[in-house]
Amino acid sequence: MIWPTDGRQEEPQNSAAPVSVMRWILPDVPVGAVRMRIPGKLMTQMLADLQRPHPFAAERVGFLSVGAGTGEDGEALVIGGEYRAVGDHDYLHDDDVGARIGAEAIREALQWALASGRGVFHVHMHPHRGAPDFSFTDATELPRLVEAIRRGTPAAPHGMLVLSRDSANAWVWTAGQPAPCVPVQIAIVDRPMRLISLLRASVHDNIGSERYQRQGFLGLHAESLIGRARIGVVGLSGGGSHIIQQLAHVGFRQTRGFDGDHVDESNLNRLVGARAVDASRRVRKGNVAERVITGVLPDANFVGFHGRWQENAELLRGCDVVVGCVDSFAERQQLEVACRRYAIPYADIGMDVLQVDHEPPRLAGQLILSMPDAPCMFCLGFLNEERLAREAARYGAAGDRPQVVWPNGVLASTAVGLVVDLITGWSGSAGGPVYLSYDGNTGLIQPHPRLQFLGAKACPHYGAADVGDPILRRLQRS
Amino acid sequence: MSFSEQEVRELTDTFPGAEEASEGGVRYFLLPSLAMPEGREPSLVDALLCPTARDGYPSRLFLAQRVHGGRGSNWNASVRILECNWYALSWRVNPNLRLIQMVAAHLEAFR
Repeated sequence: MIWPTDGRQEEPQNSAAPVSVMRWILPDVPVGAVRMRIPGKLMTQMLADLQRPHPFAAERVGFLSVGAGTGEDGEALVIGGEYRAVGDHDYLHDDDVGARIGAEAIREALQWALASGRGVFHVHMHPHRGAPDFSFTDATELPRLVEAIRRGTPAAPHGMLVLSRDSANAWVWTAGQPAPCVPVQIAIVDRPMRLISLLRASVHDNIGSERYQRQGFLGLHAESLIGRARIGVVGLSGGGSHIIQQLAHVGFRQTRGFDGDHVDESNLNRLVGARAVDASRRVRKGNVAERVITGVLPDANFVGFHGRWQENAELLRGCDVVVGCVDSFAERQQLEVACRRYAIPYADIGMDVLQVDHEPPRLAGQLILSMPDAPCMFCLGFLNEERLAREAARYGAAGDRPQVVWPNGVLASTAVGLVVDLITGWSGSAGGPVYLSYDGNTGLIQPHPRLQFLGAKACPHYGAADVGDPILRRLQRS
Repeated sequence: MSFSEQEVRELTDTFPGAEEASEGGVRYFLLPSLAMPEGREPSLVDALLCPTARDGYPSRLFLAQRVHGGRGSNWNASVRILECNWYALSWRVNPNLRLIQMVAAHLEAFR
């Protein structure tokens, strides 16, 4: 494994890097409203390829196909999809640069962009640890190559990406922009995630603050990573209200909440933070969430959307992690699709009470983590056509399912633990699918038995090329 | 499920702007500005044909807007597919139809 995933997260960001002399010579490329995400397996693939020795070139080069999207407040999203190495024979002898590639390799990159309609990034690596900078040669020569690719597919984002052993840097040309910008963040979507901030002067509010002294075991930079990670919570009632509250206590400052409902009397048995008066005044659940969060973190940046997330998908796409606390399987399916497209880890929790004949009720629940390039909820057998069909036959309504506060709390706490681990990597847990089943009658949470039959095959439902906004293919007439 | 080239061509000959895409392992056909039966509002609406089983139906025709009038009245799906929001009636058609026949059978709901 080239990309380190063991142990607690260091914070690979440029502000911590030694200032290179080149920075004073290179053109000043500003940080722009762009977020880049690269799935972990793709990053591993790129690093493995770029570190292979070449018969004569000092460095290797590849091209990354990316999907595009729009996030919160019009932020551009650039999502890594597929990688292609430049063939050995496409390198030219040139002792003045680490690697020079020939016209054929560039033509193939251009054609890839044209055929797919997606953006293409030039990728190379500087084999050290810490934040990489583009060299003077990179900064002066590569923009010309990017410009050539842009001319063919101006509507897609293109750019140049440089990797180090544990960090990354990029210049991105978004559609219609004549000059490049540096993304605000490059996220390596893996377990743990790597949120690489490219802001030169990152804000580290309350680093080492007294508030978090009891959670120092999460890692030296955990507070900063947690403060910066943007977490979306869909459904702010039973499970979501616990999640929101705990995220605030842990120190998550960037939270986005989605719920189109108001508090009513029947919510008061489980909606954490709700008061009796909220039910009589029909206060929005999002407002309760905001009150809970700001009660703990007065300077938190919470954005609540009163409605279905589908009506404000941009807000969801901008999140680094999404937690779904929804009732129906159809909603879960749609959330997973959206998260896969934009390379967002999706954690799903839910509970149900089952009653068979005269047996005592069985309280059951689940926590699933759906990561890009890992088994999806269909692969895990949690979603299937039969389940969706049965639900649709009830007109999509989950009905007034029994809901109580304590199993929601157990599942939500477990999900928050998972999110914290995802962001900080404090536990050093290996990757692999997460599908936990909860038996509320015994209080046991354990890996779901289906995991042992999962095998190692790739998810057939979500292809690496299907990232970012969908690209439809025009059908030819006869 | 795969469809013959001829079937797809029948679809594009009738709906010249037709496009296709896959999501979550499911193939969809986008039919821009599909004409609704006379008297329906709106008269033209973008449609998305899911030609395989979904939600317990052998196939589904999703519309970008709810269309008023016609035999079908039970709008039971409001879903996001290919990053757009779509609506569908509860309307069951024969599972063994060609693509163009599927569209016609679904449009019966609006007559």
